[in-house]
Amino acid sequence: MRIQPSYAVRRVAFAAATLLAAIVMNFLLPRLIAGNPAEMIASQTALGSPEVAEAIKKQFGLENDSLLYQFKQYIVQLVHGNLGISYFNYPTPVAEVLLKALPWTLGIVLLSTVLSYAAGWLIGIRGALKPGTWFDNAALGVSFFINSVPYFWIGILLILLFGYKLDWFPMGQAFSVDYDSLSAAGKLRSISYHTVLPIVSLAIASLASHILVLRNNLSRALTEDYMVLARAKGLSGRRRTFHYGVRNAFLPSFTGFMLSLGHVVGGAITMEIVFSYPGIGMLTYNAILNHDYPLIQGAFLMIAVSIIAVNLLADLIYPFIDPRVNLN
Amino acid sequence: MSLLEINDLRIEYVSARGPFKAVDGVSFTIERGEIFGLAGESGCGKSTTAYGIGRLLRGPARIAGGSIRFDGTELTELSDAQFDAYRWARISIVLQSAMNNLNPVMKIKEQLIDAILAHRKATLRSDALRQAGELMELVDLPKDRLERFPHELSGGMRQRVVIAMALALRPELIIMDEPTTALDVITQKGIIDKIIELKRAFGFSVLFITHDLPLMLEICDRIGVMYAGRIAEIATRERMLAGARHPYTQGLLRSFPSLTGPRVRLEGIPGSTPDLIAPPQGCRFRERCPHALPQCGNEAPFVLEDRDGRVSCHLYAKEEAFDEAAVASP
Repeated sequence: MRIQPSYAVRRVAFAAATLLAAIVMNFLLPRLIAGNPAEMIASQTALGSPEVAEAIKKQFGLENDSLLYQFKQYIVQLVHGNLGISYFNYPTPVAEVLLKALPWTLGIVLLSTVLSYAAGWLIGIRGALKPGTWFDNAALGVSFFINSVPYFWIGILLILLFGYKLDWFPMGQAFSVDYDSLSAAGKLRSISYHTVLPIVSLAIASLASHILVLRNNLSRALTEDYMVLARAKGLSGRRRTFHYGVRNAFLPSFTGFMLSLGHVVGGAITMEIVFSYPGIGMLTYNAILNHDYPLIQGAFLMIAVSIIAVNLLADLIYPFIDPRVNLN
Repeated sequence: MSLLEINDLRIEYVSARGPFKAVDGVSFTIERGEIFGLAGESGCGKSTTAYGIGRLLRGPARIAGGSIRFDGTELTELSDAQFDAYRWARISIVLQSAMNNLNPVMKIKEQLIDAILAHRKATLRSDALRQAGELMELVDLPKDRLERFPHELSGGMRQRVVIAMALALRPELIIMDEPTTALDVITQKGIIDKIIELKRAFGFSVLFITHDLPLMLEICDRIGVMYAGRIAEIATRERMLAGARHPYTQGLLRSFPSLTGPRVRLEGIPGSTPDLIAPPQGCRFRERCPHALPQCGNEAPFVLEDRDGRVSCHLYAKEEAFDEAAVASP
């Protein structure tokens, strides 16, 4: 399959327009909230002179009341990679705060997403190929159970069992207290050890829907006429299952996977709170509690950019797996 | 020896109330180079019969008895692995021309050559592709369509591709299950002419399934009419055109309008088909039959067999006392 140029151009243009809209929204939203952060910081830091407030105002790009002027400043700073300065972590730049939290989030959310989809697909395929077996029934039963409990509850349950009762894994945090004194290998071991429960919790929580979606679509694909024809043609079971069945059933699951990838940088707020894990989710949560607008803005922008980028990527990959979408 | 000999074939679907006897004692033969039609309303068992022959039954269906002899070999005794040698290479199938006959995410050429490569393992890919090109020519499609996906072709083109595919390994029998039902009349005519032309060229036999009796009268050498899991009548085309013998066939023929004949009111057949989990004794058409006799209720129908075909009906039990004209003319 070749991507038609017009298709690619349209997808990129659409992504660019979406990005612009996201940036404008991101710029406007905090400004709709009343209050002057410069005066707030100036009063909180016991440097409450009007001169200091004026200096801080300038630092935040608020010295001119015109929205258009502020927007221009905002864009200029964005282009230079400057997302502003965090109120709460003053004077640390927002970009630095985000970059510090990002690896933790990527570590657990990315891994658990990949793990969850891979396991869900395998279980779903096996269930659809052998419907009604004990394996299929068990997978379905467990899936419906997982889908009907709140997902943080799974995390709490795992902490209770494997953290508290059995004491196999730490109950929270991303690394042990003696982290700084450890060797490189020791640090890696400490981090890995701390990621097990969060990753498993996240993976289990989202596993059920991946199983159900693929199992459903594959069961339906297996009853299509082209499957009967493939059998009549005497094709091998493998070719029938994968080139004819799974290939067709997989499309919605692939879309789901790409959407999840876009959301990875947003972190998993609830799970990060349950595990006291220092990722983007936790950071955003605290930023909201602390009215740290630049940080919230920065986090939102990062999330928006990554979702738009991954969606664009999915759009460009899609014609290769489903030739029908490459239409004018 | 006939190419295909079906004898007392019985196929059941397992259901909670007991076995559903979709095909209940069906016998017929197909000669080499013959187009044999199997007609009947929905649910009469015609497709189940065909799928049973091709070992394509799905769900809880099983062959409960009878014999299917193909070129002298008893197919029902073959293992799945042994039967694989018959799939497509000797018996191929053309399904109803709906959208989903072809795999939507695979190029036409891949779908044409995968059967060739699966059976003739020594074939080079380049040879298979050349054969695919020849197959496209056979059904009057330009070769560049090989690079297309199914959604880029019209319904008629897709059905031509399926017919080309069915010819790939030069099978002796092609099962065609409603091959033109979803197509418009003009396209249907083109496909039917093509099938007849190819049959003359390659000499394969066809098991042609449709509920469209007039179409069958046009192309089939012999026609079997099924009702409620059994064959009511088998007749040569000439016999059918001269007048069907079984009251059910007569009713079916009266359900289609004629373009050239006199204007007659279309009648249809009142009533509905019997329950095949607990089928009635005697003749299954009895309750809907305008000529039902007392013995139809408890005795199995009389079977009259002659050079015109075979009819299962008590009306033909005593030929001398029977005024054929009274029954045969609509």
